[in-house]
Amino acid sequence: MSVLSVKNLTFGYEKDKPVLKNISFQIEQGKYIALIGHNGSGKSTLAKLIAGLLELQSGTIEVFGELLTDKNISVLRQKIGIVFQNPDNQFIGATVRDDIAFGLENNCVPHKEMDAIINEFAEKVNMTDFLDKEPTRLSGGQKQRVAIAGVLAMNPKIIIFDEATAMLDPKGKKEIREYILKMKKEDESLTIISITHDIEEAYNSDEVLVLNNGEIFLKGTPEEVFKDKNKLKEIDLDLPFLMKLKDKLSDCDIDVKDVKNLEELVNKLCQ
Amino acid sequence: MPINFDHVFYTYSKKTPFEQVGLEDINLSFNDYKFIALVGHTGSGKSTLVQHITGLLLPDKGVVHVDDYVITPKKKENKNIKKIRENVGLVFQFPEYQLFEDTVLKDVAFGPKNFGVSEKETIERAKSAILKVGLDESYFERSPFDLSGGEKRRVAIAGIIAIKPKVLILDEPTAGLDPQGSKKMMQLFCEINKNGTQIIMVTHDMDLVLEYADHVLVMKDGKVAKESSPLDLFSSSDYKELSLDYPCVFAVATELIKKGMKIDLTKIKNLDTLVEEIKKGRDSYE
Amino acid sequence: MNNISIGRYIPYNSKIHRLDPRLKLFSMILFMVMIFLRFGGAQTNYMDFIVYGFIAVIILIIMAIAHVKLSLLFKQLKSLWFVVLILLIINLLMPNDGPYFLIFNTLKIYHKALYDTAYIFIRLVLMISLTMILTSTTTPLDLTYAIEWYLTPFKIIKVPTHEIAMTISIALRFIPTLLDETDRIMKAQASRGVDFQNGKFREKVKAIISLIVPLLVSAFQRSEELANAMEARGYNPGAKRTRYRILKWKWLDTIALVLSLSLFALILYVSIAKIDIVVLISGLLG
Repeated sequence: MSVLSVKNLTFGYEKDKPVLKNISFQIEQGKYIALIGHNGSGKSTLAKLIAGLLELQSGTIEVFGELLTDKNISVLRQKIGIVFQNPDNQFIGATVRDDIAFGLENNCVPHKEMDAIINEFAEKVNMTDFLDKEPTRLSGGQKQRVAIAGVLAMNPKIIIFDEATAMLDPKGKKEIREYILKMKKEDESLTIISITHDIEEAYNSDEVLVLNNGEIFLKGTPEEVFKDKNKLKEIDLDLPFLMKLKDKLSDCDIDVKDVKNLEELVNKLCQ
Repeated sequence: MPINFDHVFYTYSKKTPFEQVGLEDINLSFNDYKFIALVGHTGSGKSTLVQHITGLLLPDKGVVHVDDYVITPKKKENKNIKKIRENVGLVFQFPEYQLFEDTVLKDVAFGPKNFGVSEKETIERAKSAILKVGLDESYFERSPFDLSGGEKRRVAIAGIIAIKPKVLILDEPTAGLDPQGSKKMMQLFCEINKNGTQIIMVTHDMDLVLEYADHVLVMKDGKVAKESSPLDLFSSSDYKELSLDYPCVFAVATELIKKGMKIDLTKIKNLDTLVEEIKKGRDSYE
Repeated sequence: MNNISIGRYIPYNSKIHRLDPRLKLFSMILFMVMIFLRFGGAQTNYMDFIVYGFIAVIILIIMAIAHVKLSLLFKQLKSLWFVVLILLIINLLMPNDGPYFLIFNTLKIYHKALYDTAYIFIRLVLMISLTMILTSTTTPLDLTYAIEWYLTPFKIIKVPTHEIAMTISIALRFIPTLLDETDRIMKAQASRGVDFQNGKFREKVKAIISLIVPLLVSAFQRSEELANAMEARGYNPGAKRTRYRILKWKWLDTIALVLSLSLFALILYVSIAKIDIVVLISGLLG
């Protein structure tokens, strides 16, 4: 089933300067989509449009078969969660507890049920010991975990990660990635759209969407997209480490075409 | 430039419930290295350490020597700090947030002007710094606030380069940039380094450490946990205990060696040198 | 930046901490009114000091229960001596009559001038200790909720009380973040040769601009991102929403309310009836 369908989307912040040009694509339920491209290629704008944070100018967005309009935006928004890049600027509550509660309050969840929900989702991201801590006492990774809990608590069907790990250190990045995979495992119907610069993450996703200058440059499974390495090089996009290595080895007439991972590569080289 | 730390201690939020160790008994001296990498987990004291080099933080105890200048715990004794800052340029993390003038040229000229460089030379230095970071003349009169994130960062870095420091400290200069942007940024630093500016770089990216640094310091809980060449660091048996990443090329090379391939680890810096060594290793098989 | 202790919440689990913030706010206002009452007649102005002494003892007891340390109070009073000095000078210069004594045979020091200074000083100290008890035992957020509760009647005339409370609580949430940011920008500009402490007037203005502009730019960006984050999580100003934090009135609050009201009634009576303790006691003793 298609959970998200974007048709002929064009958008610009200024007239005659479109950031997105006539974009169309569909996303199936339960998929892990990686949205890649350079800074300024329109990725974040696309995410904001899908989440209903920007007004549509031309083209349509359908969420679960329903056309996104001014009227149903608040209803459809409940199905879409978004985790932003800056850990500080999306922490709204005074403490972890209050921050997770914020979305619940907006959704008019009765007071009696809140504590149970807060505890449940804080546990999912391992933040139970920090419930009464203020954001200044938390690391960037911990703040992003709270943001994830806050979004999950609202029970969305699609979650967008807008470079959610870009400002974190390697440990924080790894943690967040693990939590994303864990929640995907717990609920297979959950659809994830990850805007990322991490080419390895894109390589491990279900589907890759490459945006360049506001247009869809490539689209398909990672195998399909990364097979076309010359096309990716054309727009100067990074390749996964394994592919770069294979590429360079092939240039030296070392045949490693069929290997699927680093282990196989090492074995093949040492044959 | 010789930089020495002599029993330096620093504590954050002293005498409050939020007290936190910043530095604990740091003894260091680096003079001869050209490119020093400073690694360690968040909160290990890397940024605290570099802020001591330019006197942005004063030690609670101990002394920091920078060239002929001395930084001591007492505020009143540190009259020469401005001189140190002219010689040691510090680029903070996300430096694009420090821009404030209405044109790029003015903003880059701000630093040299503050250090008393003549008007004429200031403009010259600013112009050449902007060109050096890879922006062209058309940027001179543009507003820094209209630029993209990557361009803003270049302008901010130009603002420090224009001061012509002998040492350039970079606090995670590639954080938040896309891969293409980071690559260009590193090429820039490499060039500056080759032209004789010593670089101290705080980073989490071990690939960069292996490729560029000739010396590496590992910080942990406010102390220096390890100090060596990158190769010695990554090959040491206790590196694993620091729970830091391995550079990708290094990991592949060690796997190959384990499987019996002859590879000279000292030669491996990046992907190209790795492939080179693999070729040699395979040739020796046949 | 980390030394700001005035008005800071100090986490502790005391009875005073647990009181309802509405009650605490109300009681503080009662105490403030008590401090501004005048006691005794024209001839018995020592009564002011006796009552203030009595109130001070009560405040000390509350501080002890709340585990607010006296040293914290003294720290805050340290900055007050300057105010007292100015007060004293003003009072000395005021035209006066009544009893006086001479210094250097020329300068008339009226008793009343000294009395008035002491009077204002004591009031200031009492007020500061009261606000300190309130802020160090009540989280800013709880205070906001209390203010919102008191503003509820104004909802009838369409005052957006909830939005006001939300704005205040977000402002409070971002104060530490913005303080950190200020610190960071100051250090970044200091690295470009800015001296925030010394320098001519023009240089100082420039220094402040180099701080304010980046701070504003980043604050605007933050507010935009924050607004997005709030909207994405379903916040809609004016729309109905439930509440997580609900203030709960407990038995302890009722007791505290009764105590404050009785104290207030007693002091009010002493003030209005112009009761003179000395006369009263000597009368009782026969």
